[in-house]
Amino acid sequence: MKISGSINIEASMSSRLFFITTISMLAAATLSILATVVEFNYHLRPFLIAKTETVAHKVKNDIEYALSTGVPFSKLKGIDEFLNELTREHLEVRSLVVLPGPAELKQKTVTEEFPTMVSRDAVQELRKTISVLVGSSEKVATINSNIQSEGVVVGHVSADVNPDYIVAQMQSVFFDSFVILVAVALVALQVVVVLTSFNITEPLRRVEFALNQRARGNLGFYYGASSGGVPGGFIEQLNSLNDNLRLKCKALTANGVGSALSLAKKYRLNEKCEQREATIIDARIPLFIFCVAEELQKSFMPLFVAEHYQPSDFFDKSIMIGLPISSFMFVVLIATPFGARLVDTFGNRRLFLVGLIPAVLGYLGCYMASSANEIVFSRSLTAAGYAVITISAQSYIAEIFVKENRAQGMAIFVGVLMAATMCGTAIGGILADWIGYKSVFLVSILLASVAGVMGYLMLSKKVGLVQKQSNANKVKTNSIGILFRNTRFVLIILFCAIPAKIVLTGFLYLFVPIYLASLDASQTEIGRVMMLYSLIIIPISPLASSFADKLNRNLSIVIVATVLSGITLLGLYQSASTASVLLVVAILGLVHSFLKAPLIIAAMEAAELSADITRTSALSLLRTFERLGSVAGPVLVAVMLVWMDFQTTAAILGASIALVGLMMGIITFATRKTNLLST
Amino acid sequence: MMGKELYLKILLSCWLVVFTMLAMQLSLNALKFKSLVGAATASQMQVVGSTIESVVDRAEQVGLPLEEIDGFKEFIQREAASDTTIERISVLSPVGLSIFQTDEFGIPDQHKKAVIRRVFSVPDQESTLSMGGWLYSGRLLYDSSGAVMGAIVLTASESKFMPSIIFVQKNLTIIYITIIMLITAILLPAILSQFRAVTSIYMLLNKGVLNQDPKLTNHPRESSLIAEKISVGNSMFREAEKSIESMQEANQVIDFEKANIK
Repeated sequence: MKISGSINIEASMSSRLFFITTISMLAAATLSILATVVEFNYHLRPFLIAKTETVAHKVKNDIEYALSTGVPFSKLKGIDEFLNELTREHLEVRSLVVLPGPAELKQKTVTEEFPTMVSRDAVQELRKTISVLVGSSEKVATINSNIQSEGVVVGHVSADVNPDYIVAQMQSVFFDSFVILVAVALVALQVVVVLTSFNITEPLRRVEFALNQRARGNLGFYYGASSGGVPGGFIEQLNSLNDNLRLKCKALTANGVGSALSLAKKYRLNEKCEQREATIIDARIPLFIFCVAEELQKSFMPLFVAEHYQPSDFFDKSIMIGLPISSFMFVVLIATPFGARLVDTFGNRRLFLVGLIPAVLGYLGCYMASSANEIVFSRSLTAAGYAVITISAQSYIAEIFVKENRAQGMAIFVGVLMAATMCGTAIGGILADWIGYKSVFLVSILLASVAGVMGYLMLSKKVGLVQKQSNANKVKTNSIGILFRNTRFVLIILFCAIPAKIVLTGFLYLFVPIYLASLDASQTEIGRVMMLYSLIIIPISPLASSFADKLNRNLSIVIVATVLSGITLLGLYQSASTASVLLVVAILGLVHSFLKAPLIIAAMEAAELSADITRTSALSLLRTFERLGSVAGPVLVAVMLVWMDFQTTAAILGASIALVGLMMGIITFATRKTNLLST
Repeated sequence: MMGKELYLKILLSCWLVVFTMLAMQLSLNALKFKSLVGAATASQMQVVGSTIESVVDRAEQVGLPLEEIDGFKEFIQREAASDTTIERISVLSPVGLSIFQTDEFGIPDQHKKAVIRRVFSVPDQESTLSMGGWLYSGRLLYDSSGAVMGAIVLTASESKFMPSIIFVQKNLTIIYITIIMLITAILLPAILSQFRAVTSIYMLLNKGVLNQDPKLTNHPRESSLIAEKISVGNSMFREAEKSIESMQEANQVIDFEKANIK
């Protein structure tokens, strides 16, 4: 009998859950951001007023000191220059004036008792805050302080709090809250994925699997009865019915009925219908937690090294500041191929756990470091662990995905790394501010340990071990040599993977900040523009990968995305504004959403054309060359910037990338045609 | 009943996500507010810092070393008294030794190393460090050649602004709890409408394998397909059951014949 249609309960449930969760998160986010800014706006004002008051008092004291030396108030000179200098130095003060005669009003500036949100006019506060956020500045407060000479008031200082400063502060608070919110939403999203998977979708997936098996005439033992609830009870019922049949068959066989044995075989009564236990979700949480732990230090590492620099360190302070990052990248570059070889030999789960040892030792080293040399050594140690962990997690995903969802699987890996980078960097900066640089490494140790426990509990032992024997044979061969003889793999590396990394590190990480700074953008604005890239990739990448899976033309998508990324950079030619950079970064994020996961899949598809190549070997080689691209990108752009202006550099870089992509397209098209003809 | 199980699970999942999100946001916002207030207080103390710096600059311009400025201790004491936020002021040499301080305590020994490291390592002239209930605001002093000739460290007790931080934290907690309750109230009808189809799957499963209603027209798409799968599976099961029954009957006939022969 045939089943007229097929559904995927897991996908249906997931999309509904995603919708509900997104709606609730968005509503909570909007309300909480507004509430936060209202609170901050209300409670920060007294501090800004207090500062203005201090400045006014300073002027008063200085003038009174001058008057005490015998200079009459009317003969004081250089007051205007003095006041202008103070206004320039203290941005919280809009204007400072010294006037003769006593002040008409003396304001009380610091609120001693704070009214609660409920007792004060919440609507009015909200209206005020919104008007501040949209940039409308209104008069905040004027501080007056009388100047006395020999007990007589001769004049007064009048200071206005700068409303523009408050607007800027609140807008900064708003964007910071938004960043914090994006970071915590990404963490929360990881929580919901795991929670719904284990709690809701997984039991239904097991029911669906059991029903599919049963409809195909497989009446054996189905897994999932122990999960409890309605789905668990249903599977138990199915098993009990099948058990009944099995016992009857067993009795018949014992009575010498030979056909009972063939019936048991036909309906697989004695078989355990085992579905593939491992899922992509398994690696998601441990990898995310570990990556967050790793990224915590990113925002303050140069400052941390500067703080611990000793004259006895290897190099000059300016070199030492950048050395931990360079040594980290170098060790990852070197350790990745070795890590891949170890994964093929020992399995993903074991390597994930082993990789945590050097990583944690590295964090401990940074915590105990007393010199920049020790920090460099500790970061290198962590880099070795990072290389092993990321390659084991990536190959874990690569091992278990099937043809229908491979790009989506890799999008999860890419998304997890990007989300962790965003969350880790943002949270790390705030934590460093609060608990100090060194204590952040203790947080990293804690998170890495949690990642270890999660990895131990969630990663399947079977992954990596199913093909262990075949892999063991494969790793004996020179996989690097074989892959270098694979023309398609080499072309993807050279014409797609490396250019993509050049665009990322050369353009986004080096060109964009320098160019924006030359356009007078503030450090915060630069940070926000750069963050937009990740903010676009994280939600779009899974959708783009789903599209790639449906289209099943990963290489074509990669080629088109490479060409488009080059064309995008041309957008900066003869267009010098922060808005155009923002637009280019946004489009680049969109284009790279279609590039990241399909690129990995296209490389692996190409690698699979070679015999005796494991997915892990292909991935490690891809990652190694991507790292080389990451190193080459900034160097290339820096050299170009020495000779050319910003816009020409962007145009030439963009045209070159587009050209490389086009060449790849022509070669692929021509080769495919030749292959078809030869076939 | 089975619908309740599903709804509860979904509601708890969504609630937990919103709770996790807001809890993390609350703790990070509390840190952010503390850091903002700390920065505002440090900036306030720097008004006095800049006054001290200008006196040191004037002395340096006439070739007077920092240590030899007459009445400098009294001057910094007067400046510290002019701003109630400031607890004490220390003026340090380029290697971090205290040259002048407003009282005998100066920077506490357990914080000294960290404060000196922070003040002299940052690229900016001003730096801030919060440690053990104290807020330290540093200001580097440069000579006419641009070399560091010392630093001013202004200290404030965090107890001065702690009530404000605690108050904001308390207010935000109340607001966030209200938001969670509001979201939960909005979620209920949304979940009920979104998961009607899945509930019908639960109802189907709860009915039992062999008690399915053949009329599936009222079921939404997902559950009707599940029902169809159950029905196809039941046919397979009955087919197997029938085969076993006929084998059992045949076996019973053989046993009966054997018994008769005996």
